[in-house]
Amino acid sequence: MNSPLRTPWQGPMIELQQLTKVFGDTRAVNNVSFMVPRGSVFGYIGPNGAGKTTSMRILSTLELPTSGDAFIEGLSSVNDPDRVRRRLGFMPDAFGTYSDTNCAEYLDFFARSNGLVGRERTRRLRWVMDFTGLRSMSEKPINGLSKGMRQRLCLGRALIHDPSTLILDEPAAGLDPRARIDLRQIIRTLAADGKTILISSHILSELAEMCDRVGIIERGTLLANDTVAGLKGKSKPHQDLIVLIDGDPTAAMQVLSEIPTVANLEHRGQAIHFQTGVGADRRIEILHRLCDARVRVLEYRPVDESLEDLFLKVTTGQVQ
Amino acid sequence: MSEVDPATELSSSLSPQVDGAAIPYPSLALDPDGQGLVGKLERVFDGLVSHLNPILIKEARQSLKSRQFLITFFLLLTASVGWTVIGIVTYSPDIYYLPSGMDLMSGYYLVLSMAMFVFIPLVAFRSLAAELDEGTYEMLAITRLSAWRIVSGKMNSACLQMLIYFSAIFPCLAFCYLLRGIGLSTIMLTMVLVLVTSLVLTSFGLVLSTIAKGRTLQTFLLVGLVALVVFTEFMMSLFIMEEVFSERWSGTFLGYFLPILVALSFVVLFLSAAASRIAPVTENRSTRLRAIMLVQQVLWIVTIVYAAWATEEIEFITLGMMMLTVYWFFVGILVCGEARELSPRVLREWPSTYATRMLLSWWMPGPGTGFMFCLSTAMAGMITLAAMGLLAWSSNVTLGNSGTSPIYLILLNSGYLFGYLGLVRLISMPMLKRWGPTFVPPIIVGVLLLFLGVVGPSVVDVVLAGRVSGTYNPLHASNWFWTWEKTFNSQGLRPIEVSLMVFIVGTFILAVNLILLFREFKFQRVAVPDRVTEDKREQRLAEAGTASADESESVS
Repeated sequence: MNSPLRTPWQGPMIELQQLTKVFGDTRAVNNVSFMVPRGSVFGYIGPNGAGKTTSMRILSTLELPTSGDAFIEGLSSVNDPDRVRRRLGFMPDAFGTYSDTNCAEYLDFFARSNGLVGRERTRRLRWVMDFTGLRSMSEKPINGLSKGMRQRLCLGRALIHDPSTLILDEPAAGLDPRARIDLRQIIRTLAADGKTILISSHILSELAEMCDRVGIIERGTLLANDTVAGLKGKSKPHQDLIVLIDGDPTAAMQVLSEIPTVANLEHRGQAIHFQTGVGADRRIEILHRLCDARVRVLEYRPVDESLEDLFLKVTTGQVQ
Repeated sequence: MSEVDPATELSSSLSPQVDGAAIPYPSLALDPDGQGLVGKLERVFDGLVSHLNPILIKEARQSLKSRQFLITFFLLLTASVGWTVIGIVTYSPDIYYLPSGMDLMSGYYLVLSMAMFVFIPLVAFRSLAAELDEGTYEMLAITRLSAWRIVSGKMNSACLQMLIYFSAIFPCLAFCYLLRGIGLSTIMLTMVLVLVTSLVLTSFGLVLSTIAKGRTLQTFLLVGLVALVVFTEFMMSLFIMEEVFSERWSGTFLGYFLPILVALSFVVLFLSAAASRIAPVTENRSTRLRAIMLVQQVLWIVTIVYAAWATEEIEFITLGMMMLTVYWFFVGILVCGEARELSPRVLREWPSTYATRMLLSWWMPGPGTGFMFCLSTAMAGMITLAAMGLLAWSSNVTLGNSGTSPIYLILLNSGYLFGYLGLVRLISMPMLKRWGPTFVPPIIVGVLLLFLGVVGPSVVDVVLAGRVSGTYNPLHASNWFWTWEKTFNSQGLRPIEVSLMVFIVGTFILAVNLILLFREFKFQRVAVPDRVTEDKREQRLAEAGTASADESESVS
């Protein structure tokens, strides 16, 4: 529990040090290292079987690495799992529930299991129910909940002891758009509140909006680890641009083809796509050349690469 | 973190409202600021319940709603009432003047034992197995609940069910006592025996459930448990009907009390074993088990010595030593499967000085330390029993039909233990190196060695004489059980020769093992990381802060 008497840990909240996990002949996680500072959201992406869940399970003290170590607030999840568990909220991609149990009983049980007693337990229980929007469902059996509500319940369970670090494995999987938006809102709020979050998801557009940093893992190896902007910068030396022309694009094509820094020129209807190696400050010169040639430009803008594009570029799509 | 802001921010979109009115909090969440007597009582009650194991609370809530429990409870009630009605109808009108309590008690015992021996252990097995199988255990594992609390919570919940069944049958027992023909102490002893047997079976069911990984093994073990339960039901019924109901037990209070204590020590051992099975492998999972086994040995020795003293039969000493040998052989086999590499967490607790390493390393995890622990504890137990035997021998206590000196028995039993256990360790060592820590190879090797010990000499007999010899000779010394039988009956052999031969061979195998043991003796204590020390300090401060906050809250 957070206490005013505790001095916050100054180091990285999550740290993986040369983490390796071998299952038989398969290296599920291969020498993975990264750090997540306090209060940031780290998106962990990769194809199915890439090693995301295994790394998360090791961090959550549910699995032991073959070599290397994983730390939460500087405490080893291998050697001090009990200390790590006090600081950690883990939401797995699939979780079992108890029969003959309703939401309130479920949360109350996990509050007690996390050492919460008396008023503190009641306050946390109420807070979690309000925060996850489960209050109206409190007396409903868990088995009768929708997928979205079950995800909220699982998040509520992970939050019940007010952990400083959250590990969310595919929290948005199988949710409808509305539930996804709600979940995104919840995660944003938690991040704003200072929680450190490690999240994996297949819905990359959402991760791009939420995450401060992104790690791309494939076949157990961490291929990239940077901010989304940084990844975009690294992934290509050229910037894709689009020009929308009013009228016949032939003249514009002619002008652009004469500029040495322009490459891969092509047009679809009135839209001309091309790449340039020059920086943002010099891209205006291309526009000037078009205007000088009396080309009527309706729109001139860079084409932003999405996280999906980056993901596809970085990964090979191979599975182990 | 602030506890208000995020909720306030989201309240409009996430917290549902019905027609503009706030939805009430669930009945489970007590009002933290409740005033008046009700508020105070609620807080006091909640404070008391907070000390209970959360698993017990959860399972009690679940059980009270489960169809399974309701059906069993009403079946028990119906059967008890039905038996009462049948009894009254059958014995009327004699029931008014003839003591008929004993007959009714037999029926009540059977009804209760069905629920206690069959239903509760199977439910406990299924409960923990389902947690492990369906992924809910992982959610429990990442809470503050230790493996011991999880397992003891399951046991507590089983105890609660036992209590409910007892309370259901209690009026029938009172009725039975009022009918005369059976003493109150007999009824109580029957109930204690039922309770202890149920506890042993339930705790054993919990250990089995931790082994049951995968549906196939789970089904297989469940069938094994059912067979055990049926066998126990049969044996206990026989014992209670023959020994307890006939009231032959009068005056042997300790004779019952000590075995019950031994049985209860098995309950603790099984629970600890189950907790060790599900605890993280980096934790020290051995020391507690070893301490329990030592206590068990002490209880066993006291029981045996009391039995020998009360009956004036030295055979009990011989029997006690044999049981100790078998027990430590079995435990030793399991210990051989422990991990060879120790986690830094275990090494933090490793004895630091040469002297403490000499004395305390045997309590620490590891197959070598465990091997030495088993041998040294077994030897200590056997020497104590032998000393008692010699004392009885010198005091001319009746020797029954046993003329074997306890000294020979010590040589024989320790020789077998050193030899067989040493061989199990030596043979399974490379397998464990290849497949990692598991108790399967040592068990297989142990069983094979025992089998070869019996079959080997017979094969030699066939080769030399063309048939299996029916006469014992020193060649059959590897046959543990036959040698025991012959030594025990002192027939046709000189115990000193066989005992010495077995002891010398066993000691040689032990010496080979001792050379390989030095690796574990070289382990060094590792320092506790600064971060852990810092965390401990923070935790103490936080706890002190919480305590003072609670105090000031209660004062206000």
